Formats: sequence, C-alpha cells, structure tokens
Amino acid sequence: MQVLDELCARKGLNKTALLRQALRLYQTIDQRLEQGEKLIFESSDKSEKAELVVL
Amino acid sequence: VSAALSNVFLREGASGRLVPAILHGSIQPRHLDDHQQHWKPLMASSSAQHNHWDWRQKVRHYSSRLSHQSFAIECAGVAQGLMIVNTMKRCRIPAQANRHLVYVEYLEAAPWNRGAGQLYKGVGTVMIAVAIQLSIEEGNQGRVGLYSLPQADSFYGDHCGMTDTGPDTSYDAHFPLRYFEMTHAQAAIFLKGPKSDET
Repeated sequence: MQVLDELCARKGLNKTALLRQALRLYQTIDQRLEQGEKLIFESSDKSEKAELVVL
Repeated sequence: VSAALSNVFLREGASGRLVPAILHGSIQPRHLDDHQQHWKPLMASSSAQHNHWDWRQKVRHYSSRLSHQSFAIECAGVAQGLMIVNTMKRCRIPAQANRHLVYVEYLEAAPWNRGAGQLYKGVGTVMIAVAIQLSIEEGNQGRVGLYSLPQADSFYGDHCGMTDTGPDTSYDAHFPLRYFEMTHAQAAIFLKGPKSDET
C-alpha cells in the first residue's frame, strides 16, 4: 500500500482516481493487443526500442 | 457531472432570460436522431468547419471505452449541444506538463445556437464548465485541453481564457490546429463567470 500511496502522491491523484486511470489504461492496452498490435517503449533519443510483453 | 442527469441553464437569445436545460452524462440515441433530423439540414448550407462530424459513428466508436465519456445538453426536448471527452490524456504546457487532464475530443453546438441570432446562448460555455467539473472530480484540478478549429479559436482563448500554445503541426501538417490548455488557475477564473458574450 505504501507503493500505491507514493504513486498517488507523485501523480497528485487520490486512490480512486488513480485506479480509474489504471483501468482505462488497462482497457486501452488490452484492446490494442487484442487487435494484434504491440506495446513498444522508445528511448527519448529514439536509439532504443523495447517491446513490453503483456500477459 | 458523473450523474446521468443534471440541471443546467442556457440563455435564450431573443429574451436574454435563463431557461432550464438538462445535461445528460451520456449521448442518447434520441440526441443522435436530433442531430440527423434537425441539425444536419441546417448545416448543409453552413460553412462550419465541423460539418462533416458523424456523431453516430463517434458515439459508436467511443461508447465502450472507459477512457471516454459523452455529454448532451437538451432543452425544449431537443439536443442543443454534444461533447465527447477523453480522461486519459496529459498536459503539455510546462507549468503542468505530464499531469492528467480532461481532453475535449469533440464539442459542437446545434447550428441554431451559433453565430448571430442564436436560439440559446451558453452551450459551449456550459460544456467547458462540465469538462472542468469532470476534471476536478477526476482529481485533475480543472485542467482541460483541446485542439480548436479556427472558427472557435477566440472562444477558447478569449472567452474561456485558455492558454494558446499555437498551431501544432504534429496534429496535422497540412491543417495544423491550435492547441489550447486550461490550468487550475484559469479553470477557477472561468468558473467564477464568463468574460464575454456566451457561446
């Protein structure tokens, strides 16, 4: 719960708002993955790309 | 604004008096019917830059997404304004960069509520107030962002007091719309009262 509290403080959100955002993000990513798309992170200088494997 | 229905007020253009209206926390099929049957015929002869918006398609596309919420204002039994917002996007202006905000994807007033001789004034103002209120409820302190069609630039910049970050070529290189963002302080000022004529 400390991690959750810290995340809430960092984002300036209460737990309800944070969990709402998490669910929205989860649904968005899940829908894209269901369509066969990949979730990829790219470094700020665009030199590296890594696929995030979501189970 | 999360509730299914709320009472709001619009200003009758001819008399200047306030009239009660209903804010719906989601666009209903009858609002889409109003758009098709009452708005569209009047829009055929207008030069509004959002004439091509297909609200039925938009509602179908976004209705199952937790990230989006739609709103409709109804007065005298007819839809007077429609809006779809996204609650997942983040701020861009340096003072609040990367913080969450409520992003207005689409906002449109009925054609008889635009320009000279408006039947009802205040549809756009009420919708922006709704976006601010939702932003507050989401813990985003009233922060709101949107891309504006050129015909609405002065409404968002002058009337709503939002920060104009200028044309954004990343949105569309050939038709770079201006991006506007509202801070917590600007939202508080907006909620105190309008700066100019209502739209």
